[in-house]
Amino acid sequence: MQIARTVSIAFFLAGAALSWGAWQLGLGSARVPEPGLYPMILGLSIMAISAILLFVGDETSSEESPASKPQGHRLETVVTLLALVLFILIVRFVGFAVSSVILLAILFWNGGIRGAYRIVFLSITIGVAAEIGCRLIGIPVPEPSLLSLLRDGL
Amino acid sequence: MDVLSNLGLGFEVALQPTTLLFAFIGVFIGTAVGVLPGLGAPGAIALLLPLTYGLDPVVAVVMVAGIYYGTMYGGSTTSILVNIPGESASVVTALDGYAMARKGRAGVALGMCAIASFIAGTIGIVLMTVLAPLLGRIALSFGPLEYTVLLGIGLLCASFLVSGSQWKALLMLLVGLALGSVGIDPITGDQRFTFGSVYLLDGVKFVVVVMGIFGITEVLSTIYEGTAERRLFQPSTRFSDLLPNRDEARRSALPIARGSLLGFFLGLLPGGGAVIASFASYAMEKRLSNRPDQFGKGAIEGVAAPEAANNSAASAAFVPLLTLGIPFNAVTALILAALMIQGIRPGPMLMSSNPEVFWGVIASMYIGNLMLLVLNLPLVGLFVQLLRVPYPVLFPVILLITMLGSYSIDNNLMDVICALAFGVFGFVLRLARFELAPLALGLVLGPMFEASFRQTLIVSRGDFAFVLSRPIALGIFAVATLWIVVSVVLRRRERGFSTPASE
Repeated sequence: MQIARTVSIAFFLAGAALSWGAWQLGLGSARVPEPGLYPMILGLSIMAISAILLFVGDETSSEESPASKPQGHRLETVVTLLALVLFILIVRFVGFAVSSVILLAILFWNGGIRGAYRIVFLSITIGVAAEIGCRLIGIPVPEPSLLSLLRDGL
Repeated sequence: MDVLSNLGLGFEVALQPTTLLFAFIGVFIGTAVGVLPGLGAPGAIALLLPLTYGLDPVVAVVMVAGIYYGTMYGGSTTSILVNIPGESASVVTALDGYAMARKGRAGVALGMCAIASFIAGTIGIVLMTVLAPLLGRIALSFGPLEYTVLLGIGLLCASFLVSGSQWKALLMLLVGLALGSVGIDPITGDQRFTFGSVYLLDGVKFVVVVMGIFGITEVLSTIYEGTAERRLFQPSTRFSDLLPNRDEARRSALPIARGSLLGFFLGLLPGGGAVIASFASYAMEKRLSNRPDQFGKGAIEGVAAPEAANNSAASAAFVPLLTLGIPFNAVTALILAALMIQGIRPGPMLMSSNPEVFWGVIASMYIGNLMLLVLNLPLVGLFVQLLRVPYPVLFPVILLITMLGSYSIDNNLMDVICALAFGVFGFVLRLARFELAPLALGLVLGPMFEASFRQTLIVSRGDFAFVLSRPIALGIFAVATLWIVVSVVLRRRERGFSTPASE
C-alpha cells in the first residue's frame, strides 16, 4: 500500500503546516479563544492520526489489498484530466460551446469510440445543445457566447 | 389539531401545479441518475442545484428531495438487474434481488422495491409529521453547548459508521473540518488561511467540493479501474409481472413494517442513515425468519425489508435538518445549501418563520412517494433502457455537466478549477482507500461546530464543569454513547455481509 503511506505522510505535513499557520494566528486561551485555537486543535489531531496510520497501519488494509488491481487504466485517466485542464484553459477564449465540443471529442475518443464522423457528430450535437439549452433555461455559461462568436468570428 | 391544519397548509403548497411538476421532474431525474453508474445522489444533486436557483424556495427543495428519493429507488433497480448497487444503500438489495432476477423473478423484485419503498416512505413521513414539531420545540432551548455536543457527536458517529478504516475516516473528517476553517473567522472576523485571495474569503465552497469529490472523482475512478462486463437481465415489464403473488405479499408484509420502523429511528441518528438501516433490517429479518437459509438465494423478504428501511431512513434524515438545521449526511447538507441559496435558514425557527417551507416539504414527500410508485412501476422498462447507454458516451457528458455546474454556481471559473482540483484530490484519496463522505460532512458542519464550540468556551469561561449544569447536553451525551456502542455491534455484523456481496 505504497500510495496510502504517501498520502499519510502528505497529511502529516499538511497537519504540521496547519498548526504552524494556527500558531501565527494566535491561540488565546480557553477562556478567550483566538482565531488560531481551533485550527491548532485540528492540525495537531491530523498529525496524530496520520502518524497512527503511518506507523500502526489500519485494520482494513490486510483484508482487501490483493483484490484491487495495482495497474489501472493510467493513460486513459491522464488523458481525461488533461482534456479537462484544456477545457478550463480555452473556455475564456472560445466560449462554452466550442470548448465543450473539443472536450467531448477528446473524451469520446479516449473512451474507445471510433470513427471520425461519429465522434464529430456526437460532440457537436451535445456541445451545442448544452449551450443553447442552458441559455434557454437561464443557467449561466462561460462567455463568449456561441452567437457572438459566429457574428464576430474567432 | 394543530399538526393537521399545518399539514393542510403544506398540502396547499405542495399541490400547486408547479410544485407537482418539479416534484415529478426531480423524481424522474433522480431515478435516471440512480440507474446510471458513475454518479450518486450527492453528485447528482450538486450538479442539478443550478436548476433550482430561479425557483420558489418550496419548489426548489421539493425538487431536490425528489431527486434524493429517486436515486434511492434507481439504485435498487441496478442492484437487482445487474448486481451493481447504484447506491451504497442498496448494496444489501443486490444479495436477494439479483438472486431473484436469476430465477426469472426480476419483475417481482422491482415491483416489491417500489411497493416496500412506498409503504416505508409513507410510514416515515407520518412519524416525521408527528415528531418534527416536537423536536423543534425542544431544539428551541438549545444553547451553544448543546449544539457543540450534538455536532461533535454527529461528526464522530459519521466517521465511525463508514465501511472502511475508522482511522482513515477520522482523518478525512478532520481534513474536512480544517477546510471548513478557511475564510473569515466566525467569531472575530479575522481572515484565516486565505493567502490574500479574495476567492478564499468565502471559504471553501461545499457545493464545489461535492462536485469534485462525488462527480469528477467518481468518474475518474471508474475510468481508472475499468468497467467490468455487465450482464443485464431484461425484466418483463408487463404490469402484472411486477406484482408479487399472494404468498410473496404475505411474507413481505411484516418485514416491510419492521424495516420501516427500524429504518426511521436509525435514520434520525447522526451518521445512521440509509446504509446502516438497510444492513440492520436485513440482519434482523434473517434472524427472525423461519427459513434463514433462503436469504441470499432470492428471498423476497431480503428485498422488501432493506428497501423499506433505507426509504424511511431517507425521510427521517430530514428531521434533524428541518428542526435543528443540522444536516447529518451529504444529501441533506446539499438540501441545506439549496435552502441557504434561497435565503432560508433551517432550524428551530423555520416552523414559525417559514411554515409553508417546513410543511410544504413534508407534504410534498407524501406526494413524491406516490409519484415514485406511479412513475416507477410503469416506466421500469424505460429506466432499464438507460442501463444500455455505453460508458464512453456517458462519462464525457457527466464531466461536461460537472464543469458547467461548478461554473454556474457563481459565474466563476475559479470554481471550475477548484472542483477539478478536488476531483483529483479525491481520486488520489480513493486510490489510497479513503472514504470521502466524512470529508464532505466535516466541511459543511465545520463552521457551525467551531462557532458553537467557541461560544461555549466564552460562555463557560473555559470551565468544563459548566457541562454538568446542562441536563440536555448530558442527555445527548448518554444517548450518543449508547448509539456508538450499538453501532459498533451493527458494524461488526455488517462486515459479515461484505463477503457474500463481493462474490
